[in-house]
Amino acid sequence: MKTSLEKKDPAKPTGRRYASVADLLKGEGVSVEVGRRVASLAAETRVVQQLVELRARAGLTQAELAKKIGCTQSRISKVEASRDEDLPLGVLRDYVKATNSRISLVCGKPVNHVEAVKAHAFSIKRHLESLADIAKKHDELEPHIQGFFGEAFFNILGILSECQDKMPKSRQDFEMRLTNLSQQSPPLTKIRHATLAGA
Amino acid sequence: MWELEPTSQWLKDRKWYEKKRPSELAAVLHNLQRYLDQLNLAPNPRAVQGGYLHYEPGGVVAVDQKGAGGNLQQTRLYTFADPDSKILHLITIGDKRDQPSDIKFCSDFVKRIKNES
Repeated sequence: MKTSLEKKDPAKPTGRRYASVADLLKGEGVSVEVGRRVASLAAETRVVQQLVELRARAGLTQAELAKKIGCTQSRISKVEASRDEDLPLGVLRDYVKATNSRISLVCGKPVNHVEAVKAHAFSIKRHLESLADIAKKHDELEPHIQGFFGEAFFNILGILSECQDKMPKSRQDFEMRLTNLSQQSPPLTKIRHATLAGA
Repeated sequence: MWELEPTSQWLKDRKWYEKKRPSELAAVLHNLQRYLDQLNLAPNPRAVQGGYLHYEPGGVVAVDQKGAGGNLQQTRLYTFADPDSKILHLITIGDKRDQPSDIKFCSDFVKRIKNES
């Protein structure tokens, strides 16, 4: 029974180059079905791939990482060949500890841009409040924290302003919206003046 | 950044596998992307490790189908990572039965590539 193609002629480079397997599939017209299967396999090993990247970025071989964690190289090899669903949480802890790095996991439906911005905004608020508490308790740190508050304030406004400039309708519309918002919420007036003064 | 470059033989094999063994083809292509990701992070191609990689004579690296689960046929996607051009040549795809002749076929390709550069 013929199990694969006979290879009669020597292989020749085609000169067609691709940055990823997805590009290769697209460029060479590989069937949608195969592409779907590849994407499905990738989705099942996202966390495992992050662990492999952590090790590679730390410049560690599997044997070196195994030594740091206190297991065998074959154990590391097995972990890195597994699927996410077979991964014990303790392995994540071992990898981040041994590579002195961190890993974030998000489960459930993907976060959209608006939700992400809101989450980051609340996170910034929480951290700034913690810094304010530290300033209250430690007088000697108060000027440094105050300085950081000023720096953070202008950086955040700078980011907002920069992104606003990338919008199709530019600054005039943004300023009009800010004016409307400031009429509803007095503290925003101060922000508007600061933005306009900095622009 | 490393780039993938198929050979004339790989294109023929890909068509055969796409028709006859699509699950095996998807599995080796998935592992190929993992190999490529690691090449982009590693200091040199030899530093890349993975249970799905097999270092064969003559600088040939075979990417297998492991990790995809199911009852898949043993399959090898033969590659050569050229550190000078940062091109990962996709030479051929084969099964366990043809392994010795495939390795010889790939070694000959690598020799020609090295002589040309």
